[in-house]
Amino acid sequence: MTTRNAMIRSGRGRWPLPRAALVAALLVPLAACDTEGLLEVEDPDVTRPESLFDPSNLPALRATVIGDFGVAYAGSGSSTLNMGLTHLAGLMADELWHSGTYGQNRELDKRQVGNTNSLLISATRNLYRARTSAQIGLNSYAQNGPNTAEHAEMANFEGYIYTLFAENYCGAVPFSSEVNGEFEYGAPETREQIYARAIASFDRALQIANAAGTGAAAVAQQRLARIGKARVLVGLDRYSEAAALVSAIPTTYAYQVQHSANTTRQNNGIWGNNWGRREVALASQEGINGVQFRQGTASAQDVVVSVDPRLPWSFRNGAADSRSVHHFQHKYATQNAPTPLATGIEARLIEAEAALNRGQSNAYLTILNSLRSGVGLAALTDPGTPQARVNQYFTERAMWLWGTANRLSDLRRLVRQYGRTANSVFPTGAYIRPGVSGPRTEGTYGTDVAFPMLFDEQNNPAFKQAAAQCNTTVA
Amino acid sequence: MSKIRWLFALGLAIVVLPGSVIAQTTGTVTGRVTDQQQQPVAGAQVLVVGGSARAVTDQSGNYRLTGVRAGSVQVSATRLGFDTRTQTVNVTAGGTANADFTLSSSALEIGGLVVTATGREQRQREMGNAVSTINTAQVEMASVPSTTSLIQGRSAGVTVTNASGEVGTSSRIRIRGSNSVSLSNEPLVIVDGVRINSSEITTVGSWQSVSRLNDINPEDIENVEILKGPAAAALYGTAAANGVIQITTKRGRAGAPRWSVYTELTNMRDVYDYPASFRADCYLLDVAEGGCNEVTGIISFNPLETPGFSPFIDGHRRQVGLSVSGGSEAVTYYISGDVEDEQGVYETNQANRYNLRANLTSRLSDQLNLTLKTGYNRSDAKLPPNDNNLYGYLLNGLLGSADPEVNCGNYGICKEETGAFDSGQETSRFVSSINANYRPLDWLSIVGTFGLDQVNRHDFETAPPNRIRPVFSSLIPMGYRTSNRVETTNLTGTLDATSTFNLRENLVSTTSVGTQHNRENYYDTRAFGRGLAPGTNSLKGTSQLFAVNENTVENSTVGAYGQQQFAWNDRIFITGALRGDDNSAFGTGTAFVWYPSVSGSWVLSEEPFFSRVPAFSNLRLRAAYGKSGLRPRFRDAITYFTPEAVRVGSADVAAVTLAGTGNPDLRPEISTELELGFDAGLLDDRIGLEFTFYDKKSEDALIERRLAPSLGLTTTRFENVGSVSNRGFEAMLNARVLESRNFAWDFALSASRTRNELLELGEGIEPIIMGGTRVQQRHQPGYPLGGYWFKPVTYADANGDGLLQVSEVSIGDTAVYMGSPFPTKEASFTTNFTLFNTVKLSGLVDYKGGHKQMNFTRFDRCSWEAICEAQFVRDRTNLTDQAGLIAFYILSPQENTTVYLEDSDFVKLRELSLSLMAPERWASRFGMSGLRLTLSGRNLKTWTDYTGFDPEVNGFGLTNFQTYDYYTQPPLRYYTARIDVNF
Repeated sequence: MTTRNAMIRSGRGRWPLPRAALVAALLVPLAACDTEGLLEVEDPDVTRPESLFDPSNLPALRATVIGDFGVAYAGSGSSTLNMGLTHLAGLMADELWHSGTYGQNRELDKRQVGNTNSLLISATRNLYRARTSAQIGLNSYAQNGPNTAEHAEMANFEGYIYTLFAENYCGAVPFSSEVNGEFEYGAPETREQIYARAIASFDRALQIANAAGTGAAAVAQQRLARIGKARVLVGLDRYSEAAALVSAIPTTYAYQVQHSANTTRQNNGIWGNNWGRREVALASQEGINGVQFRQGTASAQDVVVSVDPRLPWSFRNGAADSRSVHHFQHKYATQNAPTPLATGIEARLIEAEAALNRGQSNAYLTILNSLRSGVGLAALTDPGTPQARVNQYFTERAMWLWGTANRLSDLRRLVRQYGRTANSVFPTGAYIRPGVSGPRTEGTYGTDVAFPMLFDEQNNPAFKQAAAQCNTTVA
Repeated sequence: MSKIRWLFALGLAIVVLPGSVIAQTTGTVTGRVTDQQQQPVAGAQVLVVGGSARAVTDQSGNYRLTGVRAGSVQVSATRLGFDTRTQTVNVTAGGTANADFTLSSSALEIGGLVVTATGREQRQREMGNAVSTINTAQVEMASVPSTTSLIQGRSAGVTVTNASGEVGTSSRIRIRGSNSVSLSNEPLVIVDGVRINSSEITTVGSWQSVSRLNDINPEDIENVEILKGPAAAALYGTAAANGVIQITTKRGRAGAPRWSVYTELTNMRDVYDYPASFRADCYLLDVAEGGCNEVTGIISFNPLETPGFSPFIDGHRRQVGLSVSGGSEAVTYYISGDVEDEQGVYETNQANRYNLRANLTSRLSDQLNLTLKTGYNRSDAKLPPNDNNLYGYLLNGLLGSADPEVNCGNYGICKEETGAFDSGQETSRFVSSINANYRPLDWLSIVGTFGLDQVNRHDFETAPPNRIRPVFSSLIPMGYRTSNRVETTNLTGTLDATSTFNLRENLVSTTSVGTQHNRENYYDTRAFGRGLAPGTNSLKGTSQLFAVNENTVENSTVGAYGQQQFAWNDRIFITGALRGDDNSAFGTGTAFVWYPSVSGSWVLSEEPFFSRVPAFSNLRLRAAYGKSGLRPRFRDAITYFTPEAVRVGSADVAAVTLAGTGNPDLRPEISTELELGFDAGLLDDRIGLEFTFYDKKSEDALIERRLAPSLGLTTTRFENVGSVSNRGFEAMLNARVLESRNFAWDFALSASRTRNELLELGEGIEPIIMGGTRVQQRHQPGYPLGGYWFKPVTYADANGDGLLQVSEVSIGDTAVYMGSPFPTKEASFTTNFTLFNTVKLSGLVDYKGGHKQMNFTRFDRCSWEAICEAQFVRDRTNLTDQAGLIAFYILSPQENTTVYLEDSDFVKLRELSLSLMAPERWASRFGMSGLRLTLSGRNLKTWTDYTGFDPEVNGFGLTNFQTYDYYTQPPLRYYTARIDVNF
């Protein structure tokens, strides 16, 4: 009989317990196997945080801090958009021109930067991470290698990180931290507050470096701290104090962020984007007000023009956008060209600015011409008016310090400290890509003079309440 | 942790002891299963209801059930596509009873067997959840080039989206929406009881992915079962929240060797009309704004459509396969081999593979069956540069210079330079499982499965030196080489004990306990070098930037489960189950996670009172509730630093950098689902109707929350916050409209709707934004995951001159939700007409709707680069592109692309095939038992308002959420001729 409806009936039969017991006896040992062992996994590729505080790992920790700071400051050659402050600040100022396809570069170049700009996100996060690294380094050195040049170096990095935040970002920058696994959120701080942090860090560095003795490494850190603090003091209108701090530093001094061709992370970031990928070009007279960084005329493609040896250049038709003319800068012409962080030249420029502000136009011009003669450039003459001298000074600064994340700060200082309007110093007017023919424009420059704080910072409740304090149009 | 072994031991006692008090002797049942034409039905499942004895019919339809308890027993026979028949058989101790079955075809599929998480087969009628089954015997294989295409359009609620038309690439699979904000939403894939690596692998140099799922040869698949959510997959534990795709490969049937040979030849074509690029002295926008009087000096060129400039060729696919199956009652076998080679529509797009498979089943005794299934696959895929790649074929062709003398008419480089890149993936894969089914007693069965999935992969990309001009990079003439060697191993071990006994006359109890261990290991060594020696592809000669990297990822899960089912009169089934898991990736604060489930099934139509209900030949109500999970990733719970080289002074030294911010409290993400539905058979099961409503919620969702940058940590950290809801319905109508000796017509219509919503993201967590301002997608509470968010653009041609001025376009102040990239509505229609058993016409039409696509290619051409015709030619312009140009370049502080977000509903004639089957008499003259010629087409026609080339593609490949159409190769049209010979 075939049905659709199955009916179940009980079975009957003999007693099978011995067999069942046998089965159970076989299975129970399987159930009792070592489950703890089954869950063990290996992870040989990474380092855990506790290792960083091992005294034997101090050299590696120092290298870690140097590496993190280097990426934040001078970028990398990686294709993951790790562009440093030298790149971003140069784009928003008049040093670099967007010549590629990344819209994020265009936003920066046009001074219309969104707070979700991925280049800004990576650069800002890298800068914050460098701060964390520097603080880990400071703590570890305080514990395992106090009062050494390397210990001072950690404090100097911290000082420069604060300086870069104060100089380039809107005046509402928070600093948070993780303490024993808990997040402690910081409220937004003004430029003055951040400068105060920087000064404290440089003072600490100076104190440690002084305690470290008079060896070359310790002296180098003392000079780094002095230039760093003087840079901050200039930003606070304290020119004379700044000049006094750097007066003993020889012009030949340089603290360089080193790069290497070994890995893309170690590549010079500006090289990566100007030479490696051609996403940004050396600008010149950008947006009406820009400095003429390209001095001289190129006779043909790839011919290096060295009219001004501070910034040689060449050009080739076709940037990454395959439209605009691409201009190569030759300051960082290789992957491993070092990026200066602080130099004796900068010390002299600080002295010159102090002299300018004291009205000592001869002293000011003497310093500038002394620097110029060192590279075979003709002497400048006094332009005759205070305003023209300021223009002359900042143009000289721009040429000497190109690609060192000083220019955006200088343009903001021109507005803040020298009474200029943003539209008279920042790139402005119609935004046209270099070398693109025809009437096509890409709108006009925006009004940003500083980087915004990132959208992600809204996850910081202390920042969210005061996010409106971040005004990117205020110098 | 030790809980697991004690739980299992306790469960074992529960399973074994009650049954031990039942004393039984056994006999044998034999018989034959035929269809209504008295033709044998091979592969039919025959089982003792309420017992553990099971058998499969051989090629003659014969079966033999051994170890059947003596007395009156119910024996049931079924096969997918047929109804279920049950009859009472009196079995005597040591004797042999006979029971023959005649099955009728049925449009309702509740009689089939489904493999469960326990490794055992369960009747679908007993399950409280819906299971979709795709039987390859009912699919025109000529239309199915891969396993993902086998699934596409054949199961309601299962969304398979082709990301690209390049051969060797894969599709995004979502079952009942996206559950997880930050973890993969791809389903768990199990082949013959073994969890396999089904990850989507983005190859070096391409945005597109190669799917490990497509390593499985569809010709070797007997059926695919899809468990759609936690209600069905709770027993799979910490891996199954996205659903489970269970693949069962073919097995032999007892009988004489049966040889099958097939060969296929496919022509593949790119059938799209690509537009030309334009340039002129000024734009229509300049005319509108008074910047120039008229557009002059227009030049144009179309490199993609011009012979000699176009990179396109006609592609082809060739496939040859052979299989033999057969055996005796003691041993059955299925052995197959298959060779395929595909040439895409670019010279550098190829996919070749060969597959070998041997499946053996041995009946060692009446109590013990041993099944060994093993498959080896070798596949080589070469993918061309495309999508968001400056060196891509489509980018260069569609952003042309408008002048054939400049860059070959291309954007930057010529097709020969793109063709110089050599990138792809080579894979060797071995998937093997051994399954032992031991039935020491009529009421007790023990199933053990152990399996291994081993994949060795080589991802590579070579840019040869001096072949590509330094248009986009100064370094490219040096050449470079990437070579990554990857090894992945998945191990699965499952042990299950099930006892079935009668508590009373009409009440059967089935109790299962089991334990399972899964281990997934991933190891890779990656190498990169720049500066190749001409003529070599070897890293050895690289002169710069030689970099190596190693990665280890290990994960281990140990779980135990118990399941109890009560069956009342074989009509009402109540099942409760509980699984507990521990996993190596859980945080230190999390030890053991439980996944309960309960389900009920009531075959209402078999109740005596139901016989009076007209029209209904079958009606089953079902309900299921369950939980399952997704585990955190390998290092999500720990803070760690990865090694980096750093230049210090004049030397590179070892350093580290922060790479992960851990959360020691991480738990798995738990998804809970309630599923309600019914299956109905109408008109003597000629019409089958299935309906399922589901309500799924993921809680403790693992959110890769973005940390405040000021913390100075990594960008994200995983936290168990937030919840996601997916709610919808699935309906399927199967109809055998006509069934006569000379003519048959059946069709299936399925439809589904999904509503996905991020319910909450966690306190204080801002919306998670993906992408920049050009294509911005967000996870924002109250909206679907990954929705598109843009500032709205409005425009109107006030003076009616056909040209927009800047003042006629405006942009909203804030971004608003504009749609989801994922279809919210789907439907498919499949049909078969058969004439005189010799001609068969089949088709599949697929609809997806309710979603948007970002036409970024159009944006790039018409706004960013502004080289499309609409910006220059007055009678070919349109307001959309004019508004796009103004919004992007002039109005927006950031870049606005809003106008290029388009509706992307579509209907596709996905498959159409015509089969000619030689009459048996005619074929037998040549020693064949069957001969069949099939002509088929795939991707034959698309109806859509989307203005891009195809609404389905994704330039991001198979990323979790990010979706756009950006110089992505649209799907190819396939024309296939296939011959099947059986003898």
